[in-house]
Amino acid sequence: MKRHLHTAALLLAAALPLGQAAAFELNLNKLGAALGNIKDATGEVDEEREQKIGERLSSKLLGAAALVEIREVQLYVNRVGRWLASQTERADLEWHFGVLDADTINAFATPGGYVFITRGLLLTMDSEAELAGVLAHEISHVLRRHHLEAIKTRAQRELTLNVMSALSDDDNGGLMDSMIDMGMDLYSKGLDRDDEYEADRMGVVIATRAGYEPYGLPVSLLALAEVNTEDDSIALMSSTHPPVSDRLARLDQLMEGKFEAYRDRPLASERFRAMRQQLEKPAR
Amino acid sequence: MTVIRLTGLVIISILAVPCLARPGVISADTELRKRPYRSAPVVTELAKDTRVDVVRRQGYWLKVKLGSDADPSGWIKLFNLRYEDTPAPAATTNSKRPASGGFFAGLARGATSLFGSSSRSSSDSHGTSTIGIRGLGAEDLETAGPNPAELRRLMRFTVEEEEAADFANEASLAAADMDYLDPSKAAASQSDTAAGSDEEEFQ
Repeated sequence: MKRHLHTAALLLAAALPLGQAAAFELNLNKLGAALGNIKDATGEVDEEREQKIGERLSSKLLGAAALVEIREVQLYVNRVGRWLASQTERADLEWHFGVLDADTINAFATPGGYVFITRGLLLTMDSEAELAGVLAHEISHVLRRHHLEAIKTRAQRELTLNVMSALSDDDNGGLMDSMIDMGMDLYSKGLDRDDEYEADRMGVVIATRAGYEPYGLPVSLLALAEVNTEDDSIALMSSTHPPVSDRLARLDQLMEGKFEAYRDRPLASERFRAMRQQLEKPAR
Repeated sequence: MTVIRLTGLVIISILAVPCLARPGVISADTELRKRPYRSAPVVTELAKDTRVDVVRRQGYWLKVKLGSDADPSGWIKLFNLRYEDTPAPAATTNSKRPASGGFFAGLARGATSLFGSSSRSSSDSHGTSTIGIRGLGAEDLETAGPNPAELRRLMRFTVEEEEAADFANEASLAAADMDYLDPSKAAASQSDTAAGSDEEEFQ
């Protein structure tokens, strides 16, 4: 017996020279720190950090699809978007809007005030009021921090279990990377349906506050309802959002009687069509 | 960036363009009105599931036609229409309808005229023609790397609040006060939808 213990001690000494034993202890410390970081990272996220996350997600979205190369189109969408954002509780954020060079029909928002719409979706529209409705829906995701909350929830659930991945970098960079991956995942898997319904009902109000005819969002949704949900052009949007018919039915019930007074507000179709003509020109 | 593959179905959809009527279905019992106002005379009552053709939209109202040219046309409220998710087979549609370009405007143009409902699903994408259309699918998002140069370009288009206000002013967009909608109100009306469908007039 004694002999066995002796052997074991010798083996251990051989396996763990002094330096490595110290390293092991250090790892335990790092583990504790990483768990603390996860708690910090997934707790209250201040605006600066939200901005950082949004910037990194936007960079990746732009890695999937570049911006349309027409300055006037980009400025137009930024003007509409900024005007809408000014009517909200986060008017002071630095808002950025971009038209993605993709024929697929979709729109995205990231934390911190970045909103993207594809050329394909813009081309289904016929008025600025429709664009306003869709942008206001995306702005609402930012206002309510839908993506940020979804990332936090998932990070708390998964990273604590899989903490070693959070140790891959000294200064918490590994954790940030994991959160960005989770964020990107939301764009291919979708948010919670209730978040989408909330963004719809906030979107119509924001567009109305901005002075537009209030039915831009439902009209745009009705147009999308025409495209077969399995068509490549809309498959991703369809799989990441509740059915258009449900969204319309909910808007109908919420909007009924409350928006009639605004129905003669401008659609701003003319300048929208002028912008769309530029967008329809073949790429240079 | 993936390329969306469209099969010969594209050709079918292009051939189908001449009968551009947008068939829709009435989603709840409603009145067909002579003009796009709630006080306008009622032409007839439309029962749920009635098939109509949408001619154009004016604000909250859609101008629709019933069946043949001899049948009356009139206006219904936007929310009382559903487009059919799956298009009816061509054989069952009324081919005598006049072509009505440009209704529901953007639909006849750009991407949607290619992807329109008559093109059906293009998921069976073996062979035939591949059109250079830029897609943005789940795989593109999953495999995307950062693009800092494009992010810097995005920043160059950022617009200040005052510039946006001037732009709004040019289109006579006047800011209005309005509270966000209370979803619990919808839940209440949802429960008596059936009973309420007869008194759907706006107050």
